[in-house]
Amino acid sequence: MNALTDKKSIRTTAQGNPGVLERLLAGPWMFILPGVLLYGAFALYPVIYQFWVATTNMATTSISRAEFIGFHNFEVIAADPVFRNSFIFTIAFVLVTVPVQFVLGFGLALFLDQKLPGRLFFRLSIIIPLAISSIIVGLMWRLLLHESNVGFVNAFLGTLGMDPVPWFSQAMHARFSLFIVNIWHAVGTTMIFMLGGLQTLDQEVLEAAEVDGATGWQRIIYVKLPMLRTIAGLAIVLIFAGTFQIFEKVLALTNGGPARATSTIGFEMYTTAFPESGTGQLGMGAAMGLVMFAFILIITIFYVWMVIFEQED
Amino acid sequence: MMKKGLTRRDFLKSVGVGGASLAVASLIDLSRAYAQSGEEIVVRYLTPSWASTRDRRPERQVAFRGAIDSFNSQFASQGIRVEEIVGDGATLTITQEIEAGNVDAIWFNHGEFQSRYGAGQLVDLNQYEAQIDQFFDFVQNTVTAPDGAVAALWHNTDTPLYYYNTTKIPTAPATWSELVAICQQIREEEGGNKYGFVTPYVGWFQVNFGMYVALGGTLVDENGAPTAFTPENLDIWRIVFGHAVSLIQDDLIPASAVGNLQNQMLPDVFAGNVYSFAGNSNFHTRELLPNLPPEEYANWAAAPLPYPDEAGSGLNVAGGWGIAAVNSDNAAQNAAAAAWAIHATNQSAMANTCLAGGWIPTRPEILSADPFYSEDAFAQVTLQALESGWVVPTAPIFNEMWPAFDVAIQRAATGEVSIDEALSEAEAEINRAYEALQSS
Repeated sequence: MNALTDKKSIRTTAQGNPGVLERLLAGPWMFILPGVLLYGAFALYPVIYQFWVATTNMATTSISRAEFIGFHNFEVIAADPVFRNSFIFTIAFVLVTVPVQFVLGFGLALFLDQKLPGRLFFRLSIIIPLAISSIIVGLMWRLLLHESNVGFVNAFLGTLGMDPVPWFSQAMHARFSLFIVNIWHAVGTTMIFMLGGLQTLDQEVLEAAEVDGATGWQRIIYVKLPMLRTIAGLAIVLIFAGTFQIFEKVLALTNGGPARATSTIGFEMYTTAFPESGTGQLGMGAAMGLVMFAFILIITIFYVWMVIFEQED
Repeated sequence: MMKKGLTRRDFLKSVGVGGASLAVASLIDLSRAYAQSGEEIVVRYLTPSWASTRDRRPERQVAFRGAIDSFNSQFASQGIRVEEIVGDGATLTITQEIEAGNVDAIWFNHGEFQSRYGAGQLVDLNQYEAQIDQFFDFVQNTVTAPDGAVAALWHNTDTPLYYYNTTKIPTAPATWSELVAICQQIREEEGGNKYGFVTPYVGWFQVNFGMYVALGGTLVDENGAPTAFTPENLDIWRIVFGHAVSLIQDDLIPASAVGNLQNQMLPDVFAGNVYSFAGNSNFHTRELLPNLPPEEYANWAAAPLPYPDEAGSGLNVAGGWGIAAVNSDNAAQNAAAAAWAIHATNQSAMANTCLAGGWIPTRPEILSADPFYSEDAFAQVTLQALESGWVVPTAPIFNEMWPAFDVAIQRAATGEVSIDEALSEAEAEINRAYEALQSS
C-alpha cells in the first residue's frame, strides 16, 4: 500500500464515504490534469477551432464579423477544378513518393548497417539535409537547377554536351524537380528509422537464418523486414503525412507552377488563406486544411489499428 | 548549493511570485490608462519591422525615429504622442490587433485601403484636412472611398520599369514592336544563352495588365462583376497574350521566364545573359546596385515599360503602402491617430523615410523638387512612369483574376493550350470564383 492509498483509507475511515471531488483529488486525475489541459489547449482546441473557421466566411481583413455559412466552403472546394487538380496532384505525388522514399531509405539503412569504412561519413551526409529547413532547401535547389548556365546542374550537363533541362518551365520537369528535391531532403528520416530498427534486431535470429542457408536477399525479405514491420509501418505513416502536407518546398522551389502544375493541397490552402494580394479567405483555407487532415487521420487510424491487431495476434 | 540564506523552496517561490508579477504587469496597458485619464493620448502605431525604427538598416532606423520624434515634439503641448508597435505586417495580424483594440494607427498595403474602410475599421481622414490633392492622381483615386472619404494616406509606391544595358541597347524601345526588333537582333547576332530581354511570367499579370487597360480593356464593372471576357475585351487579350506568347515561342526571351518570379530572372541578368528586363522601380537600388560591379552598374538605365503599338501609350501598374487611423469610439483618439497618419506622410517625413527605404514617394512634388530624386535618373523615370500610373481594382474578384490570368499565360506560352483555350479556361475559373463570392 502506498502513501496515497494510506491517506485515502484514513480519510475514508474518519469521514465516511468520500465525495466525488475527494475521489478525484485523491485519484490519478490530479496527475493527469496538467497534461490533459495542455493537450486540450494546444492540440484539441486548434482542431475544433479550425472546424469552426471552416464553416464561416472568415477573411483576413475581418475576423470578428465572420458569419456561419455551414458547409458552403466544402461545397465550393468540391466543385472547384483548381482545388481538385491540387488534390489529384497531391495524391499522385504521395503515391509515387512514399514507396520510393521507403525503399530508398531502407536500402540506405541496410547499406549503412554494414561495418564499412567511412560509414560515419555516409550516415552524416544523408542525415545533414534534415538539418536544413524546407524553405532553404527549396531556394538552394532553385539556384542549383536554374535553367540557364547559371544553374550548376545545367552547366554540368552542358559540359557533357547535353541540352539544358527546363526544370521549372515545363510541367512534367517541374513535378520531377519537386520529387527529386523532396526525396533528397526527406530520405534521411526514413533511413534513421529503419537503421534504428535494424540495430535492435535479435542477432541470434539473423545468425540462425544464415546458418540455415538463407541468402542475403532472403534474410532481408523473410527475416529482417517482417521483424521491422511495426517500425516500417510507422516510417510509412510519417512519410505519408509529411508528403501529403508538403508546402514550403513547393513555395520556394516552384511556387506551385508552371501554371499550377505543382500546386499541392497545402500550397493551395496557403494561397487561398494568405494570397499575395488582397483579402485572404480563411474559412475556405481552413476547409482545405480539414480535407488534408481527414486523409492523414485515416492513414494514421489504419496504422494504429494494424499495430493493435498485431499485438492481439 | 543553497544551504544558507535562501532555501530551494524560497528560491522557487520567489521565481514564481516574480514571474506572476511580470505576467500581471504585462497585462496592464499603460498607454490606454493615460489616454483615458485625459493627461496624455498615446497613438499606438502598428508597423512592420522593415518600416520602423527596429529595421536592421541604420538609415531606416534614423528616418522613422525622426518622423516619430518630430510628431511627438510638435504635439507635446496637446498631450499627444505616438508609440511604435513593431509587427510582422501580415494582414491577419493587423486585423487581430485592430479587432482587439490594441492599435490606433496602422501601416498596411494599398490593396486593403477600401476593404478595411468598408469594414468600418478606419477613420475618414478627410475630416482632418488630409490634403489628398497633393498626391499623385492614381493615389487620390485609390484612397478615396465611394462615399468621398479618404481611407488612408499612401506613403510609398512602385511600378515596373524597363531596365536596359546601354552598351547593348543604346536607346530604350518605346513600343512592343521596337522591343521585339531588339530581341530579334540580339538573337541573330549573339544566339546561345544571350537574349535581348526577359520578363517574368509568374506575376506576369501584375506587370503587364496595365497595357491591356491602355488598349481599352476593362476588368470589372462598377458593381465589381468581371467584364474581362466580353468579345471586345477578348480581342484585346489576344493582342496582349499574342505578344507574350510569341516572345517565348519565337525564342526571343529565355524559356525559363515561364517559371520565374521577378527576382528569379535576375541571375541571368547578373551573369550577362540578358540585356534588358522588366522589374520593379526599386530594383536599381535593391538588385542592380548591390549585385553589379560599379563599372557595370553604370551601364544600366531605365525607361517606362514598352507599350502595345496600338495603344499609343502605356499605363503603369502601381502598388505600395499607406498609413491610416483606426476607428474607435474615442473621438480624441481618432483625431490623434489621424494627426499621426497625416504627419507621417507629409512632405518632410515622406521624403526622409522614402529616401531611407529606397522607395518612391507618392507626392510628385518630392520627386521633382527634392535634390535626391530630381537628380536621380531612375527616380525621374519612375516619376515619368507614374504620371500614367494605374492601380488595380479593389473589387474582391480581382484577387481571383490575377492567378487565373497568370496560369493562362503560362499554359499558352508553354504551348500546352492555344491562346483562346487559355483565355477560355481563365474565364471559366473567374466566373466560378465570382459565383462563389456572390453566394458567400
